[in-house]
Amino acid sequence: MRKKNHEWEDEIIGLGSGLINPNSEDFRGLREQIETYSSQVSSTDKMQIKISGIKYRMETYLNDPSPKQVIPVGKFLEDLIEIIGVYHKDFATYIGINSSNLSALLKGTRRFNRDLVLKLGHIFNIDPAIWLNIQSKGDIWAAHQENSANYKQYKLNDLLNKAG
Amino acid sequence: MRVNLKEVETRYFHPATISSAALYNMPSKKEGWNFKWRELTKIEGAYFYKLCLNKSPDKVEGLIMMSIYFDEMVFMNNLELAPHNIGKGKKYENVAGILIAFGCRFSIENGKGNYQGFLTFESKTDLIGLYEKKYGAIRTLGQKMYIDPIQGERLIAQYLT
Repeated sequence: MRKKNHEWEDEIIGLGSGLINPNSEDFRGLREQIETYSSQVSSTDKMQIKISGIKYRMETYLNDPSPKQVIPVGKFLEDLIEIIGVYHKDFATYIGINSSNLSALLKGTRRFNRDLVLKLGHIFNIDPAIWLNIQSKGDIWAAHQENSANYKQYKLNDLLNKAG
Repeated sequence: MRVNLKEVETRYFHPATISSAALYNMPSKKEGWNFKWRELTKIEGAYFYKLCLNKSPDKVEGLIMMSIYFDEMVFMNNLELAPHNIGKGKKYENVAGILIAFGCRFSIENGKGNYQGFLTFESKTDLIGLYEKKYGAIRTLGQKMYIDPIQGERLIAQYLT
């Protein structure tokens, strides 16, 4: 039986029960207080939270060994541009490309390069390497889907045997 | 997600990983855990994550259960550390902080609208002051509390990087 000691009791949160009642008075009070708090947060701070949300989503996607779907890197950029509320034309001009090239990046028909991801890294405070790694993840997935049987034949033991 | 657990005795940091947890990962009350995690896992719509050292990926150091209410608000239903990480003789000291910071990150990633980035939870009455002081949580009605996005980012920087 565990002792009751506040020095370590903070290591447990909750009551070990399942889902809570969202219609309870204190749950409604919690929601109301957060609504009030949020209404006082500046639009700039809200935008930063949303940008962080995309950043964390990119990291989670990159680290997921078996994502439910492949997300083109351009989709994350599209979401970020929507969050900051800038016209595509103005965004393209700012990063030194024309609108049709930006459109191609968002659609996935044009590749992200080092120059671009360095610019995006500074604008959104997102590690430039993440953009390229997500792009590579999509490339590898697509190549594997096209010809998985071909790649499965490559094995270390097979190589060692053939190399003599 | 990669993190580092601080060993109390040696003060060394050990690489660890937070990953999604399923029924077969869950420890039992027989192993000294307080909550019936195997029962909790059956609840549909809840999210479960486990924290394990990279060198012992089958041994759970801590667990967190979260739900998203009304498709927008993240609520931390339960959080518990392995019995060996509790009390004066605990093995690792930052497990709770890491899991709470992960909850904040989860809310920034998955919360919506006015609730994005808010990690909400329920505290025992006599521990409210502790959560306010240690994690910057704010009390609302009853025993409900929340950690706002700005404080959440601080905890993320403190515990997850």
